[in-house]
Amino acid sequence: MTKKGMKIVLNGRGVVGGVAEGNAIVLKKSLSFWSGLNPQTGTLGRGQVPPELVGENIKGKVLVYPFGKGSTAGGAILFWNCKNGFAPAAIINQKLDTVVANGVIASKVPTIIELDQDPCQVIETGDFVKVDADNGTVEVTKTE
Amino acid sequence: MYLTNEEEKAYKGESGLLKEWAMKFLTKFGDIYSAEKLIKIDTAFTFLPTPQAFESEIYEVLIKSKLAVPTHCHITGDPERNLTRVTPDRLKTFVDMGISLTSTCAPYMCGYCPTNGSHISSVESSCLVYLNSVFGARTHRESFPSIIASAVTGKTPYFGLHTDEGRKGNLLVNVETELSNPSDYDALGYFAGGIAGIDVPVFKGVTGRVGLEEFKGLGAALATSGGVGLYHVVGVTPEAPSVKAAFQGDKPEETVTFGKDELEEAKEHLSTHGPEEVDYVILGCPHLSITELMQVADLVKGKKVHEGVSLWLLTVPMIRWQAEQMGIRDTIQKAGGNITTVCWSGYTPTPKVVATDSAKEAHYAPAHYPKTDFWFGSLEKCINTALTGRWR
Repeated sequence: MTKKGMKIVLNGRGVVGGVAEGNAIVLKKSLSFWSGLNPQTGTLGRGQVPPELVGENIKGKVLVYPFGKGSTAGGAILFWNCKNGFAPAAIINQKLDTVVANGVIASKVPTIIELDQDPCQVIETGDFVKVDADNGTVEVTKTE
Repeated sequence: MYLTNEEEKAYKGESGLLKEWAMKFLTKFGDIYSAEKLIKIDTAFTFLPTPQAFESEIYEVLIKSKLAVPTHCHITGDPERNLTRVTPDRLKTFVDMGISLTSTCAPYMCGYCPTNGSHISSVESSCLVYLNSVFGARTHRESFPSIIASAVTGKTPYFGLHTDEGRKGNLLVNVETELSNPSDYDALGYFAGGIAGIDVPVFKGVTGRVGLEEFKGLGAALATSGGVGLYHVVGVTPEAPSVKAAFQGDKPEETVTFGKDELEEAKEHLSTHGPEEVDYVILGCPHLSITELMQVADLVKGKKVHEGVSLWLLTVPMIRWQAEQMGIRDTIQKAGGNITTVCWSGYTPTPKVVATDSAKEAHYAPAHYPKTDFWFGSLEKCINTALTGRWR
């Protein structure tokens, strides 16, 4: 059982460097930025994420999901989204699809992959997450 | 990553800003995946470069530069309907860059057919999975900016789907039900993509015809519920003469069964099960083949699309021309159907209830039309719906 305020540290591989922090948005399933992310508002789309997260803004959040999928427009969508001022603080993926790689390199979003524990299980939406992509560490503070 | 002298020079900026940007991007991209080197590509297939997708200083140089390899480009739109997003001036800019216009996400239906084993760079999830799987060409799941960095330098990092090892199957899908039309292949792809993720699925037990239309739907769906860039169909696709060959002598990491129940479940999942009265029937994501248009013409000949229903048939400009020459376009128009060359999402007015034969569209469209209901089924069922006004 986890408790409020409890800290958990995960280790992975930073692929785009940088240090960032924010509250987590966690998706248990893979995500396509095309349709999944509206780059003009920074919000998540219907049918692409669980109903309770539809319309959620990723700006300043640590976006956690297993891997990217779907349309290859994804890299450009993330870049455009960030250009429009809705950059997430960081992205945590377990595996890195090449489309997501495009988006995070171009947008310089700190990104960590291949963590030693499943981030989609350990981290819950709302948890406070510090990402150090230079050193590949993720510190999770449970909020519930 | 190892760079040749010429690549090193470009990396250092000695070949201009654009090549420096491209080389820096490609090495960063390759380093993430432990690529040892860059390799040459023959051709590229890209989206139209837009200012939104690049830093402005790079975009300004890009549109004045010649690309290093023959590059095909998908521009969506329909000049006949005044639905083209590109002005003639901008069009000329792209042609001067060395870009040819396919005006379809399915350029493999109009002459872009890279050969077995050739290295290329392609975007469009549904297209690149076709080129990798059916033709045996080799491409990453490219995106912006990697596709442009590739086209500018004629190079791509050597890893993943470009290597023999990266093309090995991981997931075995035993198909134990009859697939009776292309939309069943959409359903199979939708099922398997959700399990395969970004790995390589291998289909065993597929009997009957597997051709252009089936591959088109299968690949598009695999790259919708998943991020599949390559699949094998045992006994059909070039790298899978046998199960053993598809897995390169290894055992599958996972085995699943696709039977009658899974087929029905996938189809059910792709509908929102709203009202039966339909106001839009939209076929052709990816674009319809000439065979499919001929089928539609047979089904609507001498009949009328139901009042209050719009029938949109999306296809390649060259195939529309073909349909016109053959008189099929006339047959379809007389019945009240429209043949257009657009991509669907974003071009139609907001529909209430849509019927489609595309798993890809049924999956993505709810995000673009938050209040619309969707029905997914075969081309025959969709056309029947267009004629009766009801999904039954």
